[in-house]
Amino acid sequence: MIELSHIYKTFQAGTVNESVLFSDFNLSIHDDDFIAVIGSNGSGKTTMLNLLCGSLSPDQGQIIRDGKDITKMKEYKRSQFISRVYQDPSKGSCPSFSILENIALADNKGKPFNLGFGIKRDRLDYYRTMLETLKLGLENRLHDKVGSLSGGQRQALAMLTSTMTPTSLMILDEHTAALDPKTADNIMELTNRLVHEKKLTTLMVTHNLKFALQYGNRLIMMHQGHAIMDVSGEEKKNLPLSDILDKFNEISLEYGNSL
Amino acid sequence: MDIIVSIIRGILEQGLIYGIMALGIYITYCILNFPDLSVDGTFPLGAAVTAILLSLGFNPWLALVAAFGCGAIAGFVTGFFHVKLQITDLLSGILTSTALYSVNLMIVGGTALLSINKAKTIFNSGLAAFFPESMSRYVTLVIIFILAIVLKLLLDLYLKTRSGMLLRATGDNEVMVTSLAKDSGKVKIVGLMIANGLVAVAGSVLCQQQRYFEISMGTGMLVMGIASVIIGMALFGKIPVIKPTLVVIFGAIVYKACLSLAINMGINPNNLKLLMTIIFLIALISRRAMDGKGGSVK
Repeated sequence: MIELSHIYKTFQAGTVNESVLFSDFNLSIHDDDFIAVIGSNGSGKTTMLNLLCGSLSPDQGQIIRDGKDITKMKEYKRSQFISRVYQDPSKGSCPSFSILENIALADNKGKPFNLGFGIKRDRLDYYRTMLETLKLGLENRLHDKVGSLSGGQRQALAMLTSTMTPTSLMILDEHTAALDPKTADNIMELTNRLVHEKKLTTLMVTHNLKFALQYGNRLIMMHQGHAIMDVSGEEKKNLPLSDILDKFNEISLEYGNSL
Repeated sequence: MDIIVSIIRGILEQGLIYGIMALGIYITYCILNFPDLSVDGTFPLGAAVTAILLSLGFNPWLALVAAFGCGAIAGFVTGFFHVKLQITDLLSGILTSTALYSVNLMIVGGTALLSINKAKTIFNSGLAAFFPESMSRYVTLVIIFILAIVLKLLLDLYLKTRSGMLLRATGDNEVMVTSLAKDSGKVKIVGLMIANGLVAVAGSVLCQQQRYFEISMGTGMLVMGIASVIIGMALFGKIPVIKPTLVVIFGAIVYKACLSLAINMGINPNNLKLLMTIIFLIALISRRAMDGKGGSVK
């Protein structure tokens, strides 16, 4: 379980542009949760992810994982148990590396990066089988540079590589937002399959209300640094889209946005 | 005819020596995207360490290893400035190379020029004894050639290891390194250490070949190294069978050939640095024109 406990975060403190985002924000992510997070721009979704990953630190409050305080732990160290897939497909892989090299790199996560060879020939068949499940034909393009792949292909690869080694929290940072609708659907299906196969605890930020409703066991709506809606289980299943839309319009209209 | 052969031999000798340096600059400039100016100090550092060790009678091969070690320490310092003290990449390198000017003078005992005419070098002892008398003129070239190729192969091998892959990933996509739970700062330091180690080895070899150390021998090394890398990439980079490590060595040889040609055509040696800059610019612009992109210069 990972908890954000009594988090305070203010941006540009002490200036005229000071904005208090979180004040006493709390969130518990239970094991095997698949949480979809929605909310308008500036509602604190991305800041929440950055606090969890360690790319930002809170002004006050604690981040606790299985009873241990990890608030001061550096970002790269937290990656031992947190994986993240970004909105920008190019962030999840090395463009000048081949598909094979990218997978081998991810396969070595958690091992010492010493003078042993990076690519193990006896793992090739496993990598191919893994790529076959994507149904993109990438298993026949092992030696192609990743930079030559499309955004959707790169994002599919990033989903695979980021879940190759065991992880206690998977963070999806609007990971379908940069893709066309059809590809976004495919990546979302892949995400759902991986989450269930590997029993991943997942936190997914999305602007796609349909995805938020369709996938996951818990739904959180953020607004001005608060979770104004947090439903899970049966309650979420029975929640009609219109309810979410109404609520979402309500908070958006306050700010002059509309859907 | 003899003159031409000896000019070509000179070009190859010097080109291969600077090729070793270009291997180091390939790591910082191409792999890490780090314009590392410390090489202007680490090149003469390798030469200074070598000059003093050889004048004290140490084994010349040992001097190469010592040069690598000292270069690596200097690279560590640059990395420390940049990663831990968060000084910009350019300034970190300038600080190191400025400091090394004094350090180099200290190493050789305060003299700006140290001749090692009578000392044993890798070119007149040990391995050199195996060559027949008839080949005596080519001993230096053959040894430099072997050395450059061995170092190139070692670098190729290193880049395939897990540590080497991480180094390449750091320049390619730093976010990936963080998500592999590794500190990209440490990886950069390792890269700078290897790169400056190689540059210092090149300095050591040049010192043994020309048999003297001179304090200003590092001036313009980064420009020369990057020019070699860019020329190599422009001329040979598109040929798929040639690895980048070989490409940059070829680039260094072509670069030396251009300079040598200019000198033999009677250009005043005082204008050499000006010429170096012009060659650099031509290489840079032609590479960009060939890539068909107006944007980034890399």
